[in-house]
Amino acid sequence: MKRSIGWQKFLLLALSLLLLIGAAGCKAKDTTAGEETKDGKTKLTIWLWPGMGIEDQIKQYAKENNIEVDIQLSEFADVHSNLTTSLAAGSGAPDISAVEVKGIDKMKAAPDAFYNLYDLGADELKDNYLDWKWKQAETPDGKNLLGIPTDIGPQALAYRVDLFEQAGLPTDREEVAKMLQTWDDYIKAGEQMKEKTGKAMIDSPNGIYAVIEGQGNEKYYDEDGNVIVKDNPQIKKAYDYAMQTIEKDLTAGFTQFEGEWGSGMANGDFATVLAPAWMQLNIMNNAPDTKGKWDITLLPEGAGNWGGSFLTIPKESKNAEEAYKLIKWVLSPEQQLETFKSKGLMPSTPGIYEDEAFTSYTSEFFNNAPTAKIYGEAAKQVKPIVEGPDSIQIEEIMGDAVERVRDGKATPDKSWKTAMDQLERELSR
Amino acid sequence: MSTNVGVEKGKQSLAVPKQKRFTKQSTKDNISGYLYISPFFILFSIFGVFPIFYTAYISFFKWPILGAKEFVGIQNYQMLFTDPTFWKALGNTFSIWVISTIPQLFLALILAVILNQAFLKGKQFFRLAAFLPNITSLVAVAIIFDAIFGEKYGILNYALSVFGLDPFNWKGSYFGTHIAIASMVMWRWMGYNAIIYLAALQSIPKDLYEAATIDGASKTQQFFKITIPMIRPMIIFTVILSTIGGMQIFTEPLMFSGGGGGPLKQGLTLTFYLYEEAFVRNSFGYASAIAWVLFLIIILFSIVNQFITSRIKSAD
Repeated sequence: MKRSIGWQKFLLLALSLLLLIGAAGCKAKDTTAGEETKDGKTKLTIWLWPGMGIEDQIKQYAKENNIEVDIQLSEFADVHSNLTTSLAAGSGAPDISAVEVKGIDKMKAAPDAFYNLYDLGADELKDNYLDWKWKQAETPDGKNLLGIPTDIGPQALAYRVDLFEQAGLPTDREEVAKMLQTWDDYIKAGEQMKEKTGKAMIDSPNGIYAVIEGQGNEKYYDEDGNVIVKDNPQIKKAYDYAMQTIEKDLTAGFTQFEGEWGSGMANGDFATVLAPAWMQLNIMNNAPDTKGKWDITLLPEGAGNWGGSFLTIPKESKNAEEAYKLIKWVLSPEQQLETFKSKGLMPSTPGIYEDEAFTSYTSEFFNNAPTAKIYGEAAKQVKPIVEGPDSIQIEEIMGDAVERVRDGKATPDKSWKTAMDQLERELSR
Repeated sequence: MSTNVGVEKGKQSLAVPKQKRFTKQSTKDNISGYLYISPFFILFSIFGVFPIFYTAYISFFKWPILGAKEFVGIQNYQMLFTDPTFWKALGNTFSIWVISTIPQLFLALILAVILNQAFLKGKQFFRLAAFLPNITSLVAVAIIFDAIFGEKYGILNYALSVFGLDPFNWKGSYFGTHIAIASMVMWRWMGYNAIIYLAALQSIPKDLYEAATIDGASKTQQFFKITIPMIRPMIIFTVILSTIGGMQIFTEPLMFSGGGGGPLKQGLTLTFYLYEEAFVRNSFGYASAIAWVLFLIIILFSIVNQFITSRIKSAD
């Protein structure tokens, strides 16, 4: 009798431990993929970063199709590192995660961690999207597709009409484009801006760096996947122009995407932002009061591509079919046209570039500029660029190199050398 | 020793087949004793012991977590000791620790003495106010400090401009970044330490002061000859806590200087570097090597602390 009570106690203890672990498990499950809500609705967890501009479309789809979505926003870099970590750990990944073009190559090294979208029927969508963009999310053998393209980032120049006028520069977008044929022209205009108004031409030297490096045929990697940062003349050129803007004091010295950068934009501290299509949303969000003071025109020396993302479905998702349907709808040409109109995101579906509904669009915020035509023109000039597994890391190292000089902590040559040493060390680990 | 004997006896009794199974009360007590403490040891071995040794194991590998492990021997450690970023991170950690801890503990003591004064009205309110920063969300704190130390639109630079001084680029220099992070730590922990000191101050018997006053000791003399010696154990306690906290500082620099610790790596501390290697660059082998070196540094520090503690005690 007495012994049995002992066993009961033991069982009770074991049970309470189990309950404890079970409770912890339930808690964790709340945030992970593949869940159903109490009333049997499918629930999709989606990871995005701020400013992607597709949240409204996702919510609309969820409402129309009676599913529940849980959109979780993290910083750009965190989305990628969280995804890598949870994929390696085998738990915690969402149903859908955004991955940027610089991050997709790292994911391509582990295609088994994602659903192959070709298995879910993505073949039928292939012709809707830009070929080079589509290929970026494909494994080299072409058998696996990790993600469906969201927008692309063809670049243009956003400028403040009022500041250009004060500086005695042309204000009409055609004339501005004619004046700014080369980057040297741009620097010259910047000097005039500084002299006449005392304002900076550009928000940050990192802006001009990121844009020029994207105008070449190659960036950090060659076609065989070798890192070519050191020997790529385009990178050196981008760096040198960034240095020129610093030496001639043409930059406002902000760090892009930080809080102060937004304040400076709202206060008109700088006259131009080198703007990939998605940057329009950043400008509209940061400086809503400057509506009508901006205009958009073509960049000097042709457009490159900066950014643009993919939506992927990690293998952990238990609702892959549902997730795929959502992605298919949200990124369909019709919806990309919507996000273009409301957020300025450039569609990755060339079919609508000629569409009247697209081409006739003008942006009220940007002084009624025909942004569709301008970015459509820019998109045609974009050359597909090979990214590699460490692109995000390299971008950060190069960005730091520019900022060191901006902050007066190193000479251009020394900062460049520091960056090259750092690259060599970090990529060998 | 006696517990071992009990277990042995229990085993023997189970081993004898025909004998009626019985367990002595002492054996039962032992078993239930072990059961009571087992949850801690089970959890500790899963979340404490296992990771320590597993970290040691993978520090000998090159391992990007989405790929295969590759054995590289002590290469990670060799790279670590020749890695300027590592030494920079170590230097930053110490620099931030020194400029946050020393003034902080000093000010906390002054604050505690003020809070302990008999003439102060509304003591409860001030004590609560002193403690409040400690329970504020760290991320919110970092965002506020970020705005204070901004170069173009920061309040601090505005204040400098009122006095006719040039704006200072806090985020772009070692000095500015360390000061900013240290002030965040100070703001957050000063009240906490002040409350600990206050508790110690209140436990000092009043008659010591009365006797000193009768003997003609001044307030300053009383402070240095009575107060400080009496609260010595608490000072040691806060120094140790601040050391451990300072070696592990992570969230403040991450929030303030962003990815990579800033262009000069001026905000990169050791734990921050470890995090970046593991979760941003996915060099888990290398990150594990950093973790072990950090572990050894903390052990070294604990020994130094121990040494100082024993010396202070012997001075009594």
